[in-house]
Amino acid sequence: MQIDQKKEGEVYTFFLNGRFDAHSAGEVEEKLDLAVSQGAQKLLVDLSGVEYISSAGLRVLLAIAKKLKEKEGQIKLCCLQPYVKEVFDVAGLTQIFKIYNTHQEGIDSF
Amino acid sequence: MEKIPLSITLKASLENLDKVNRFVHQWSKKVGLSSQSERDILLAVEEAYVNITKYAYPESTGRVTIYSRIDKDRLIIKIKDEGIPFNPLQFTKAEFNTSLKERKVGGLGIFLMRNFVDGVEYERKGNCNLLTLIKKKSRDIFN
Repeated sequence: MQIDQKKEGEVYTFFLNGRFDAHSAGEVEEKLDLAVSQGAQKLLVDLSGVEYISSAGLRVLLAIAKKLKEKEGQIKLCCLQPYVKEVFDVAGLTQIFKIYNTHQEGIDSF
Repeated sequence: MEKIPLSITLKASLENLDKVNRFVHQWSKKVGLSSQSERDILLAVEEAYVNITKYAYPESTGRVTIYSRIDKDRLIIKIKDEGIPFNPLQFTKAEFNTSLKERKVGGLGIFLMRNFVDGVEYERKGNCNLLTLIKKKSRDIFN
């Protein structure tokens, strides 16, 4: 899994590329955790490069969402591929996460 | 023609997930699963396998054997471990609250596993857990 990061205004953006599975989830969690511990309150995770996600990936996103909520911050997602969106739907997570079709919509939503 | 093993036995650890995926991928191609069905079975197998790596062997490490066969238009994957008794089907289908605060983080893996295959069976045989996952070549239209 490749993880790129940049800051767009107040938003910390993460670009994930590859499989978001039990193998890669730990590394993603570390990077997101680090940003939160450094005071990030607005996180956007761009999943355009993710073709597969399992419960491990969903759990990481849920855990970060909870942490941010306690700090009155928010994590949002954008650019989900159809299969990844389907996994979110089946898991009931499209009700919980704010999901945007494009990167710009995600940025503008904050 | 490449010979595909009927089974693989590995140490139940996360590092071996790639090997598990390769095995399932080879069999998916052999039976001619649609790409959607292949992703479904890879997901289900990952969830089952990762559960074993996390919980089956609390005192030490152990092995997992994954068997595969084809039955008409279905791929049958059987996952065997020698860990503590664990039946994933004993859990009722999780109900998810909409509130993030109330959302429990556990249980999701088994829920996904059950939802992305066409059949699941569990058996405890001697000191082994045997979990069978069944996936059809393509998804039913009315799935």
